[in-house]
Amino acid sequence: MKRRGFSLLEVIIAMAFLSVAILSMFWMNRASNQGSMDAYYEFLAFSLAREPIEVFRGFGYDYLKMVADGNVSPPAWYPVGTMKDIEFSLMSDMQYPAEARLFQRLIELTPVTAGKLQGMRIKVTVAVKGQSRVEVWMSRKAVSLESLVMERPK
Amino acid sequence: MPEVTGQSRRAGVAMFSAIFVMIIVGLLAMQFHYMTRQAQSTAYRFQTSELARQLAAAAMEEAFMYVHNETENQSGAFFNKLVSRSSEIDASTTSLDNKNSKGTPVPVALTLAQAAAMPIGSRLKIEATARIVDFRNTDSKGARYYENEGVGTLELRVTVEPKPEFKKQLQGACTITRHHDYKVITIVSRRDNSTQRSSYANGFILDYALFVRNGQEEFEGTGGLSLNPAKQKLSVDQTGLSPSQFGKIYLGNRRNSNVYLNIGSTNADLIPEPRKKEKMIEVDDQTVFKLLPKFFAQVRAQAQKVVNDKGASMKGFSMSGHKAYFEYQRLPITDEALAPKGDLKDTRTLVHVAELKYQNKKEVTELFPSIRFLPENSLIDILEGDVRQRYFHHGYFYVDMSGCKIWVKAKKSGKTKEETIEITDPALINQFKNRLIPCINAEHIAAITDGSINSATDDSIDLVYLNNNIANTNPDVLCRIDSANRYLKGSNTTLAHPGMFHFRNAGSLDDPTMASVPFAHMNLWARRNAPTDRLEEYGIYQPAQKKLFLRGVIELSEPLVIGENGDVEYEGLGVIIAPGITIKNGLKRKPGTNSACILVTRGHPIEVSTENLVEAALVSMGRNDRNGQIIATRKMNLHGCIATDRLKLDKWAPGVEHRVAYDPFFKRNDDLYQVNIARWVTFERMVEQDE
Repeated sequence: MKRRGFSLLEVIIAMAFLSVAILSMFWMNRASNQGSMDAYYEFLAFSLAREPIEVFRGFGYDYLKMVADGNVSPPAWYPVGTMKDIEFSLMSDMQYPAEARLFQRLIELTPVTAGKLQGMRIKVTVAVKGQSRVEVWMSRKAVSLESLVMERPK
Repeated sequence: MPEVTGQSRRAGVAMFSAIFVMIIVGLLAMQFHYMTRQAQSTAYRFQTSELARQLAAAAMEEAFMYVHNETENQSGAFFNKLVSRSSEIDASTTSLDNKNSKGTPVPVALTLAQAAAMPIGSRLKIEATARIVDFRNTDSKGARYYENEGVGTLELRVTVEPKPEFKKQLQGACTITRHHDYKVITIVSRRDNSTQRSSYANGFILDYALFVRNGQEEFEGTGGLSLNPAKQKLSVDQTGLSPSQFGKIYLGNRRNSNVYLNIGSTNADLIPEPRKKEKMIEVDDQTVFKLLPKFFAQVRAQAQKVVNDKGASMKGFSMSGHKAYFEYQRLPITDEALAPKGDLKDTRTLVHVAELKYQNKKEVTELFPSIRFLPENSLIDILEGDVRQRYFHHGYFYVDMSGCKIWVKAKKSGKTKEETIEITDPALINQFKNRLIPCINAEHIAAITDGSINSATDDSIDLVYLNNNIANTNPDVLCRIDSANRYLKGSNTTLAHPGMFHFRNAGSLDDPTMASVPFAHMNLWARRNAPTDRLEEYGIYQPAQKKLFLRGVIELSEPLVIGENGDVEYEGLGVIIAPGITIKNGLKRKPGTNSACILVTRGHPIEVSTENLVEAALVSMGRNDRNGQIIATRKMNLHGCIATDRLKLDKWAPGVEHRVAYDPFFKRNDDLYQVNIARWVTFERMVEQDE
């Protein structure tokens, strides 16, 4: 009696197709995960860059000028001129997402003038800390954002 | 075999199930991947739009500061567009659909430079525009402000969007629109010296080198001392200015009334001609006998003796070779001018007191020099209102008997022929040798009833006869304190009464005391009710640096002291209104700038306690109490102008000559506006576009 079944060749071809399909799905899944995490960390890094600009805009030019001139110390969680870890503590006044501690932040203040106009350029660079999982997921190692705070009449 | 058949069927189901599962898993994986791509794209667009927003915010700040800075640049193009509300920028009367067609570009160089240095920013186009979206040129009562004054709303709009060549790659864009209120006020308004103003202007007072609003009241209340002070000296000096630059002087007289300034030795040349002796009427011998009853009595007594010796009777008298006539001269009136001629001073005092008594007026009997206005040749171009000069009109009867012969006609009884006998009495002749007898109004003298001063009257002359027979047709023969002439040199022209206004009424005012204070439109003020420490906080007054930055009208809630640390240099156009101002040191305009400092109090004094040069307009005029005053506790050297309710010179430092030199900066043929734009945002809209 002749039993019906698959030849070895059929099985091999089927397994090959199946392997390609499964590998593609794995690759796609991995790429999706990578992209998703990249987007998430980019967004987080950019938000961390935007935050001091908004806060410093609220401080106003005069305060920033004093900070830039070294006459006044900036708030502890916004150190100026040095790349610093972003503190994460449940007891801190300033609360960040837990993964913010995987980044470092550099805030730079540069006075700019044009005629009678005086302003302060704020540049914030947020970089990934070494040896962290963000390094794996995030395609760029640093993001930066800039803005100007102009002197205002009193 | 049934088992074989059954196995074959089950094997087909499994394969289809596996394929189905794989398709589902594949679809889910693709969906996940799509969502991931979307998330990445969103993260990128977020960054772009956030960058656009940050640049828009920066450009908005820069645009505002540019506008703010330009609003103090009176010669700048933007300033003039804003003040004149040029059609390019003014959308206040434009329909809503067309408002965006108006606007002038605002440069944002710093933002552009910053964007150019950023990888994405360099692909963005940044534009800023400004337009007027609302303007009100009337106050809350509907009264129109002066010329271009008013309150408006300026719209600033900043747009950040990808440059055309990057529009397919970049989707982020941001537009921010903000409204700021602004005020336009004249600090100095134009004035043609040959005409009067036709309406209220905030800075009308700057037309005057000296303006005394309640001058008439003060003048009458002090018996004229307000302008003719006992111990203080003040000169308002405009020497070197052209007539079109002169600051006017108004001393506060009401219409149909006047004030006067005493003529002293320094301004004696203002006295109208003839200043020297002017011979009027020569009188005959019989009139001399009537005018001089004492002389005649002595003549008669001697004649009687001679006639009696001859046994005759007197038939008449005659005289020849005498000199007798009325003269007058116009002299300074002040004590210091007449002091070297004691008899003249006595006569003036007698005449003055007699006039006062006759008019039932109380006044000081000492007469002091007046404040002085220079150059005296140009007073006709400087003075407004009715200012008189007061001098001493010295009328007298001159008689000289030194070469005269007196005869008496005698007739003996029974004789038909009269005999003429000469009376020779050297003592009598000498008594009336070269005599100068003051002629004083008999009615005025009669008013002195206490006998204290009329003893000084030369009773040689019959004043009643003089009054009734000579002065009635020739009044100039009598002495008088003359204030009929205007305080002008070589002219007695009637001068224009200043046009004054209440700030919300269109009509001109006759009564100067009703004239509005300057800078009365408080809704055009830049700041109100600010404590003095805010001046330093705002950077307006920096005592340590001795700098004053002026911009518009600032009202303080506390008294202000300027110059504690030395001379202060000011820059900008501005007015400070405070409840009391003390100037401790000099106040100087920054060289080469169109700066003006106007210090104003309302019912509180301005005290100048420095001898250093003060370049400012000092205005002390109350809104309700009308008791404004300026006090110089040391020798004042002012380059500017003074406007006050009352001069109160008696409060000024005595024994020194205070000097006010009018600043021709205040006399212009154009209006000098100041624009104050509020830092406060009254409206904001932000439109972000990320697709």
